[in-house]
Amino acid sequence: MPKTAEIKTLQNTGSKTKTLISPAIATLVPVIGFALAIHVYSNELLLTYMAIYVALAQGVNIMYGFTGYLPFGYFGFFGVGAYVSGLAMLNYNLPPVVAVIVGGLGGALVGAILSPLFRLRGAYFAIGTLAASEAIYTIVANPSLQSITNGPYGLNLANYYSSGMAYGSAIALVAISIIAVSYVRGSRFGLTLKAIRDDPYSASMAGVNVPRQRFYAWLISAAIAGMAGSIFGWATSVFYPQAVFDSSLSVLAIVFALFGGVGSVWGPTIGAVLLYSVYNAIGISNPEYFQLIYGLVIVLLVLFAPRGLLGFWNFFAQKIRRKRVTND
Amino acid sequence: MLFEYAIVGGILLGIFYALLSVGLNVVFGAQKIINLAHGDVIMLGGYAAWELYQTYKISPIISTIIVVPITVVIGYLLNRLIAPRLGKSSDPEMLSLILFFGLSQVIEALSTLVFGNAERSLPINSIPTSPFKLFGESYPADWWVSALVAIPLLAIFLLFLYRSSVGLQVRAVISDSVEAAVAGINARRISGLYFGVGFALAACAGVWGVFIFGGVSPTEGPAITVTAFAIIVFGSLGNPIGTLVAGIIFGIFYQLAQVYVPSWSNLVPYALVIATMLTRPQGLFGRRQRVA
Amino acid sequence: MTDSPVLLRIEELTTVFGGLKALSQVSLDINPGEAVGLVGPNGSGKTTLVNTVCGLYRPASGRVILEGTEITGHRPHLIARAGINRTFQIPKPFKDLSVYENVRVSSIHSRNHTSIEGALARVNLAELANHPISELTAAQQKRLDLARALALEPKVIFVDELAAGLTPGELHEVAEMLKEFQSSGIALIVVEHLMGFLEQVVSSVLVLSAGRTIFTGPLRTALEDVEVKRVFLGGESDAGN
Repeated sequence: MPKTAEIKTLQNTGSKTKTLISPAIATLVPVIGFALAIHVYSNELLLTYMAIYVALAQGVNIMYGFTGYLPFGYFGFFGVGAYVSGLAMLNYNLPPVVAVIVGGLGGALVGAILSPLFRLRGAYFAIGTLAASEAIYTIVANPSLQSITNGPYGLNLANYYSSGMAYGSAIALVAISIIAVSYVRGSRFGLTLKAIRDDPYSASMAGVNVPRQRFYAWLISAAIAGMAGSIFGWATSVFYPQAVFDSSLSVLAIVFALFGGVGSVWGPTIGAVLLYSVYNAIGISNPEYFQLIYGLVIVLLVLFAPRGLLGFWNFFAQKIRRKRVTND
Repeated sequence: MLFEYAIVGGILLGIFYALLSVGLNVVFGAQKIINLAHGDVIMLGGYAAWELYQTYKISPIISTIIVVPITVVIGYLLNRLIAPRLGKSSDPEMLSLILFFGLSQVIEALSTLVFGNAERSLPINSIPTSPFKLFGESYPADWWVSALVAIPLLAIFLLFLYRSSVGLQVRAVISDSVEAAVAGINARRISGLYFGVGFALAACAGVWGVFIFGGVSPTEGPAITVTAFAIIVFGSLGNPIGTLVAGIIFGIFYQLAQVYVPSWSNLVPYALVIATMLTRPQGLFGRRQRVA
Repeated sequence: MTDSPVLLRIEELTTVFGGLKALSQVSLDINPGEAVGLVGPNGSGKTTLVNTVCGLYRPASGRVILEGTEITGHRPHLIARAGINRTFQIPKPFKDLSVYENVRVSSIHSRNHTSIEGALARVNLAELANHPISELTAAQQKRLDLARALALEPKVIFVDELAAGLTPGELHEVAEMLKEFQSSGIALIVVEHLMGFLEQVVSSVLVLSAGRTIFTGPLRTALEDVEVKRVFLGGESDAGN
């Protein structure tokens, strides 16, 4: 254990250029990838959804990967974003891109309102956020509020539909989410959280206001989900409340992030792209087979590789490194 | 009249909700594991009742008994399989949460493959059908029959926990597993068994869920888990008697909401769990603060 | 192994924590009714030895043999049922159980289903049987620990720091109890700091320092041994210098 801590500090004190170049690559590769993908694979809506899931997985990464708080109710921000931006377009005729930003702010605002949930420890927080998001859904979809939210009948944004624009926004959101992860990871806050994981005693003296930083991470994460929901609503153009307040959105985002490996910059991107492709291949016609696969993946990950694919990779890399040391 | 109807109906349903939730609390007590697959075990209990009735014409009352030994064994084996691996991890509570979440997905997927998407229900005449009358109001047969089945089940469970020698060992292991081992108790076996008891209680509730929820479908699990979680948090984690009282209070709240503000009644479990967690995290009957 | 007179034989027991030897080749033989003191400065490995013999830690090497049967590395509950029992430095009774139930937990797995009342009577707690744990004083909790060990029909009891925090009157009472246990054939291994208490109960000691045995023999001789003195007085003389 102490060995890994040493290695990490060595990496952290590494050259400054390296700390800027690797996040740039981690951001540019997926962005260029998505930009080129549309010329190879013409189903724009599917690519938009994939980009949305990359952003969501990175949003989960910011929360769970760096603070250990697992937001089961992450879909709540997604739904709030979809509704806030949708209503902003319908009621105030805002341009969709501006509405997407407003949707992100809506997500962050709800995040701020739900922040007392941080008083709860790990697992309780997870279920607390789930209950909160279900509560928001019950309110938004309530027939009594039809005059405001159109109740159970959802929103129709067909007038604002614009192919290309929504996809471009989704790619921009991917970039934003990865930059946010890189920022949190490289910040003093990220380093402190990493140190807390390695040695909870020494890190508490590091002088970082952990609750406040955690609150910021939560707001960023909620804003990403809000924007993701906004783009989803815009790209889908007609949606019912149960489509945007769908707990399987959090489920998939969490699975993608865990599969790739949380706490890293690349992991959730890789996890989301790989698993969402599998989802497209078999999940749409046979969702239960896909559910079975990712359910088994989670069970096996927890039992055998709790740090995800990248954790697996690091584990082997470290073994090789260690062997070299002992051979010397 | 509406008020009396809500209260009596709430108590009848509340007894069912107590049975629905107590298994989740038992599993929590066994190893501090939050069983996110709880609702899926309930769902499987429902399918067991459906199959037993449709294929062999076995009354759901008998099915309630049949599912017990099977689910105890399944729960025990599952526990023995996962507990050693979770024990090695640095954050077993969080990992177990994710693990059971994965398990819940697996159960849901397999159930869809085996039973299909459509909701299945049992004819009401598979149980005694006469409605229950009190204060001039009548209540559906499934409400009082499920309560009548739940009461002896819960009583047997409490006798097991507080009066039997195995129950004493369970309480010793929950209190301190190292001390229990040093006192000659096979702590792994005892907590595995108690874990199985939690599964069995869930499956029993599942048999009656087919009636109370109007059917059984593969996707019903997560919503039931959240409701059960709301009830056990309200009644205090780790305290089964608290769960029984909380289940009945929940039933009354829910019925009052159904009667007076029906479109908002689904909000009851969520509001209950959030309000409890934020204002009294140790629950109604808790001494120690466990969640914050 | 015919008629082996040795009740418990600890053979070159070594326990390692993350590369650090907390216990290094410690050996000890004890016969029925015998009482041995286990002494040493904090961190010398006394509690590690107790935990290893009782199966809470797995030894890296060495053997534990009870009445000719090797039990090294067995699970703790099996070792407890075989007759090696212990008390804890800080008593941790089952808080949600009554005094009687606490003892009953141990009695369930005793070979002949010992009398719970009998065990409580031997430690003068009979009249508190139906009280909740919260009503017991610290001294009574320590006696309850002894009753719990008794209910398992012990052949050997490891008594871990029993004397700490007891008044002279309570000390005397506990020492008398331990002597009564001994006369009924139970072997005692007494982990203790308080020499005055130790003198009342044991005649020989095993002295540990940094996980190694530095002395075995009569308590009197130990107190005059140069090495033992150095280890025990070392800390204080360092401070003085």
